[in-house]
Amino acid sequence: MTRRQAPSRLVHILALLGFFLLLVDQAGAAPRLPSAKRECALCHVMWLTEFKRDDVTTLIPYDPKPVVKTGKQDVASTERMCLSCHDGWVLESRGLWKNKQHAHPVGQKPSEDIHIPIVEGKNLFPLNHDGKIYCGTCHTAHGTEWGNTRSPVFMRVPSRDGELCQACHNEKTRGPEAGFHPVNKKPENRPALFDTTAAKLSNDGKITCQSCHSPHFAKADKLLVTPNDRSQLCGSCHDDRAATSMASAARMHTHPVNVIPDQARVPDALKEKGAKLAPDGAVICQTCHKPHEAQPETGLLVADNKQSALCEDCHQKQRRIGGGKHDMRLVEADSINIRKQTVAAGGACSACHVPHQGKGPKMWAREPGSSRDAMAALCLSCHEPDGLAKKHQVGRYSHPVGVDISRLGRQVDLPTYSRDGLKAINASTGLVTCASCHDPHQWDPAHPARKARPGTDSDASNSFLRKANGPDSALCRTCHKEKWTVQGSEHDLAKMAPKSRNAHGQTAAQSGLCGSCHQVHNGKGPRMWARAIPKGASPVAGPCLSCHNPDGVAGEKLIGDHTHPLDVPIADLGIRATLDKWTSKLVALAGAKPLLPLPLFDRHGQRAAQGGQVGCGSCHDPHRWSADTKQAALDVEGDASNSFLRISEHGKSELCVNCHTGKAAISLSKHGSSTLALKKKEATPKAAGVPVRTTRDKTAQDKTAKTASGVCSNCHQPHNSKGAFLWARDEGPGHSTGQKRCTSCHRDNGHAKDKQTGRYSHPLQVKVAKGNLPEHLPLYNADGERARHGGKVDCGSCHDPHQWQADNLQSRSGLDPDSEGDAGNSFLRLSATRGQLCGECHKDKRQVRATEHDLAISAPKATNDHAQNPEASGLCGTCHSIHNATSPMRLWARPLGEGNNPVEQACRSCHADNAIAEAKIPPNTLHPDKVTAWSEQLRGGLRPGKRTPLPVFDNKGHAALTGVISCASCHNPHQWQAGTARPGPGRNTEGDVSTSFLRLSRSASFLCADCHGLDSIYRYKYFHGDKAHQEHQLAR
Amino acid sequence: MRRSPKLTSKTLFIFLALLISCPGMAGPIPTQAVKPLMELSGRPGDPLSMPSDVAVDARNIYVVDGGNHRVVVYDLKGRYRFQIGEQGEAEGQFNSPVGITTSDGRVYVADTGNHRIQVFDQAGSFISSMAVHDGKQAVRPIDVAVTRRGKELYVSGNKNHKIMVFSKKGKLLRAWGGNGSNRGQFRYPASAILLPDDRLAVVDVLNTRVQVFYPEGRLSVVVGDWGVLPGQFFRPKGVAIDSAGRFYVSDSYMNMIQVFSDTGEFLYVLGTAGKPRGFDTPTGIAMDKRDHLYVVEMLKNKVSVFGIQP
Repeated sequence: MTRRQAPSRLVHILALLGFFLLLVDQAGAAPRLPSAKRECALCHVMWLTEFKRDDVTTLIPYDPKPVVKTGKQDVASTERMCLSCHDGWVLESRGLWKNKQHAHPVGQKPSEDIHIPIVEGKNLFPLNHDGKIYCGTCHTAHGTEWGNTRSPVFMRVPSRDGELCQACHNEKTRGPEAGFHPVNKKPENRPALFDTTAAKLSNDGKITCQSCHSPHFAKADKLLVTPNDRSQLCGSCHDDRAATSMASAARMHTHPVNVIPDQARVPDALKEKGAKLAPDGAVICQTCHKPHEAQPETGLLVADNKQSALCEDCHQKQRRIGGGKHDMRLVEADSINIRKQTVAAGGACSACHVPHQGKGPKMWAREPGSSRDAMAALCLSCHEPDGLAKKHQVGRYSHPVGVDISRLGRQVDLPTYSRDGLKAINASTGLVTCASCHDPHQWDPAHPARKARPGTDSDASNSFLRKANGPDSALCRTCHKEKWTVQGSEHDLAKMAPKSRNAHGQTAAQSGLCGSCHQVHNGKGPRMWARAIPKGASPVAGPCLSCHNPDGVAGEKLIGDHTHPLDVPIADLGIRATLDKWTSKLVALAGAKPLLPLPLFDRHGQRAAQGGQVGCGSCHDPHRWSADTKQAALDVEGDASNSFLRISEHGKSELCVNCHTGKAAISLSKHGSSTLALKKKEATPKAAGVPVRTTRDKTAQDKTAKTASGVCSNCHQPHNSKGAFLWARDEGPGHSTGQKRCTSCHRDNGHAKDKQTGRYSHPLQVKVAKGNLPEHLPLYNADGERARHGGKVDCGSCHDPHQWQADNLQSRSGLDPDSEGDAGNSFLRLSATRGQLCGECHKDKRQVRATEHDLAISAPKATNDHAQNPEASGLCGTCHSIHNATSPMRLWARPLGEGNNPVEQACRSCHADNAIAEAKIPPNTLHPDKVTAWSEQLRGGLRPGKRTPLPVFDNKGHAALTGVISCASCHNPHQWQAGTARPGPGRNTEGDVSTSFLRLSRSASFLCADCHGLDSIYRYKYFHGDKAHQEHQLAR
Repeated sequence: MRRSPKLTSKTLFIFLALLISCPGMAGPIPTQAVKPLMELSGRPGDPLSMPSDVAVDARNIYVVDGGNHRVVVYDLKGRYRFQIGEQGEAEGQFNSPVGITTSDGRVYVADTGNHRIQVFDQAGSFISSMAVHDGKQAVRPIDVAVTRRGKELYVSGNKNHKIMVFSKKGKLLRAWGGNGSNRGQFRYPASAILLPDDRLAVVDVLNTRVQVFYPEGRLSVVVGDWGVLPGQFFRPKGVAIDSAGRFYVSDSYMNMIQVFSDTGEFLYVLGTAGKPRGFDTPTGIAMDKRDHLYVVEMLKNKVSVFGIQP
């Protein structure tokens, strides 16, 4: 080899080196399979060999154990390294960094309470080079064996049930007995918390540390998965106790949380023991409970609750119960509450209250009594017949509970409650209950510290009342302020009957004014009545009758035998009644005021919430002398404007028409007071020389010279009246009670002397055949009362004296006392213009309508005896006068014609020359009038099956068993076509043998045939044939 | 006998060229200074939280504020305008969104936790939503790139390690890649941008490279490599391209942005005062038409904007 070859060798070496480097470079640029070495270096970046080369400059410096925030530690476990993948681009763990303020502490040395397990001389959970906790303390990228369970986050040890947490925090697992929240216990259900937060259950569904705490995704201090400063975390599992308002607490029967106590105060001593409050001072779960390091065996309480000590720490006012009648330790120490806890063991509070899962509002610890009012049911736990306080049980006639105080329309200074037992914030709403008057924790309202040991006598100044209820009835008046108008009235027994005693033997001075009549508990009857009620008295009148009876203190104020009925359902008057509103479709007068809701009662005499029956208290307010004034009157004779009436009289009988709404129309009619007043003027005893007296004149009330001027009082008197219908006037002559009432005025020298019925008038006291009973008209019994079944015709059957025109409550016609009525008004119950009224009873006569005998069709201008045309007289009135008829024959309303018998005379009143039916005059010769025939009844008896309704008539024109054959024997003037009971054709029509008002359409059954046999047809044709009779001499 | 090759100047040039082309080299790291223009960091009292990506159009700057599950919108002067969405699953709401892009006046957000791409207009009004799936399997989308008029959407899939191409109506048209280190495969594809010539550049995080594909999925260029030397990556996340066609690639562990030629050759590191500029966990980056570079610095909860020399 020459020297010249040496450079060449160097070139080769350099070239080879360069080629090698090129290869290295190309190899570096080419894709590679990830080697194990590279996989390690994904985190252990400092293991890359580039850092050891001198020929390159790395982009980052070699620093295998950098000092970071958590201390000095391997670069692979720095936060920066973790984030390089867990930043969302590879794996999503940004929440860890976002939530650093609520993450497991790192960069700190473990406290003395932490005991890291040591395995083979090493910490199972290593600390960094500074001895501080760092990510790698719990995590390792190298993984651990979790069996079938996937390691969630590269934990150093499996942590299926929180073992990793418990490894260091091992004292937290000691359980409730030691004062620690249980773990490894399955919850009864799976709260939403486990779906909406980082809270976790163990793999087998049990509670673990991570059920409440999250090392990286906590939302609050103490690594809580959700804040708990307002009981959120506790409440998410213990939702049956998470009553976050007083309302929900009342409903859930548990102690409230998240509410700021108004009276209770959490003492500092309790706070020092660990009791916490919400930031705003509200009580929370952790006020009483601690999840860790609580008092052992207390249910995780911050302090022991023996003898209710914890309760009393805050509820200091309620301590007053101790040593008194409600201190169950003194009364019934062995009684147990719903937790089977004796009072002796649990303390005074536990006898009635449990903090959670009570049996009613106020966390009730006993079985509630039987009351629909939730609060009253608590008291009845003991104060009922089988209760511990049966000596002080609350009986049937006691102050009502569950009554809405808003009815008062004002605020009272006593507590009221919701249906759930929640104390109302505003005492103008809510329900009155036992606790409205009673404070079960305090015996004497005037002396809070005073206690009454069991057996101590009570009176109205104590008895756990919230206010003393002395002679001034201060407690009663708190709500019933408006009742105090009774003071100084005739119902003020302290003045009217100071020596009278109530059922407790107390005078009014002793019982207080209210107490003279009312007994708050265990009264003698409805309205908590405190006086003896007469036996057999209606519950709606009994309390009143306890004084208003001949032997009572109000023996001079009786109501008499004839008095306004009681126990009558208001619905009978067409009124729909609620406590606050009455409505009726029969409000008579236009512009009339709305009906005032008056008290109504159930069959027990209690106020009815809906509907109800009339009682004394419906019209009378025993606490107020006059509805117009609050001023009481003593020793004054009352009248309709006072007398404890709920509505004062102002001339329109306002009280009466409030119920009898349909009767109000009377004031628009002749029967109204103005008319009567006019008549009175005419007929004053002085003017007329005739005494006009009402029954009222006879009562002692009239001695006061005060008059009751209402419309109704003209005829009616609610008490001490003379007879049926509370009649207030002297009865007149008559055949029936009803007629006598009417003739009080409709008689000679009466107010209505010009309106009498005359000699011949519609009969009264007649029975209506069963098939003809009226559908819309009343019938009456012998006492003049409306008959429920059967009954007879009386004036009131056709006339409604309170309404001038039927079906028109606003009808004003008739106000003029001299005006004449007609068939469409005249106080008739139904219009008679087309026979509606008459047809109610005379059903077989209805079909006269629209026949030729309907004069509105055949002779509309014809007038009857009363100068009434068919329109004024009505259909029936054209021929019949209901009153003041001139003839007894069918009350005939027209001048009788000539004829051999009354029936023929009646027919010929029209069927005569120059009469309205002159075109329909039969031959002069009718059937011989001397022939006496049998009536169809008699003939029917001899020839059964041949009944023919052909009457014969006596000499008065009445149908008789034997009599003459007259027009009406063959003709039924009310029915155009025999066998067809319907109105006529509505026009003048020429009849034939099948119509023509004939009673029968089949001549074979004629009466004629009975005597004349087959010849009768010829005789018929002879007399009635179209031509034959006209040619006959008799026809000429 | 063969004659040994002579050491010529030509040979020496080749040798030195080869030597220079080696990734490792002693001496200072080549840098290119950038000019800080502004920073976007949320509003007082309402900071960004772990932002991940940024996009710019002619009107707005859109920052994916993933920790707050929203997109925060600024005008081009960096003034806060409004935010889009909040945490949730309903239309217009987000669950840990990561990537974002704009195209033709529309904003496309990879709503990663809800497995969908949501589309908004420039006013932030919701337009449409498209479920991301690989067949029947829902896939967490990391980023999205959109062709003109939104005709096709390229979505980088997190757990299936694929690029999925969807039609405008959400139909999966094609997909490529899969878990692996070979060329064309991915280990956690991340940022994806569409180049002016319609090629797609995708950051391949754990393969520590940027792969450039033709629209049909054929590999065009690979940029970068595994390591800690200049031109190498440890945790590449974002990619952008300037008006000269240079690739900008962020590395969220090494906290720097390296620049490569359009053929993938390392050029320099963005720097300051002759040294690599240290960013704080740079992830998503974007370039606007003025060649302003927008860099998300995740742990700083801000977006830094720089002017670069073209």
